[in-house]
Amino acid sequence: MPLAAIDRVIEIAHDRIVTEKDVRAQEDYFRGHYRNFPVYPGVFMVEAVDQATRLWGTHNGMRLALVEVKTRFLSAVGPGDVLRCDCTFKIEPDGRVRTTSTCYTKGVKAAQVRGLYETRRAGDAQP
Amino acid sequence: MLSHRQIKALLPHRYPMLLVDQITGLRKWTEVVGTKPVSGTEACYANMADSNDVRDYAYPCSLILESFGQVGGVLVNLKRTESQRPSDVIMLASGVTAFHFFGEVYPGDTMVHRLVLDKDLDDFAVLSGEMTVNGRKLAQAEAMIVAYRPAGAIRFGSHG
Repeated sequence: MPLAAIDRVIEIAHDRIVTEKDVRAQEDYFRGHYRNFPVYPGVFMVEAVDQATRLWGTHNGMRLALVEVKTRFLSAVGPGDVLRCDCTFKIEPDGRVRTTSTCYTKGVKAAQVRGLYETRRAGDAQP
Repeated sequence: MLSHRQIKALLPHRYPMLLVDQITGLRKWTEVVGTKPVSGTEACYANMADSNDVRDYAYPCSLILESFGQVGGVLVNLKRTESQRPSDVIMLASGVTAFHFFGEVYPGDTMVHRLVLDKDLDDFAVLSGEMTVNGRKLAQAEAMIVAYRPAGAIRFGSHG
């Protein structure tokens, strides 16, 4: 899948998931971001956190949908980097899930992402 | 109105990461409206199995953010071009505070992004706005920050 943002799950626990992705030079999006200066799109770090969060939700019997995100991009990610996402979770009294996540390359912070998720039922009709 | 070809003159993004098809409204230098139709033929749907749930077809949040930011980028870059600011800089997303999603986008929908330029300085710009589909508001951004850096000042794997 072109947007696959997780190659490996390093750790999964009741309140945490850690994932990694190998950022490969031949991935298609580098053709257009940018042609002469390949930079991993910052929003794909949000995608990685979103996929990790939904994977953690599935692992815990929840189908999660993103309703709010805040992010700060701190350093650039490029071909050859390994992107590690360390996501921690807190379930609110109303059942919504908050994640505080940090993305790293080479041990240096590349992005911080805070997300708020609601639960969805599988098979609900398309809105 | 700006065509896809004209947009390419203003944004560094190219296929498959150029996620604005048309600019349908532009008020110098305060407001921009741009559209992005979502199709089932897009790469993000390439490997969907027939057994996937209907919600698996929701357009990825990252591409909504990217498309939204690019529409804002058209306004900022057009202003930068007309005011003859340095062009040898790289445009990068710097942050989002906060982006709210009220619903999902599916193949067949056309996203309409409407952004306001809240702040514009030499090395960054701040935009806010909303995304609608068929007049229904599906997302709202309080602030999206776009940074402009010389290529040599961008460091990988380090704070930059």
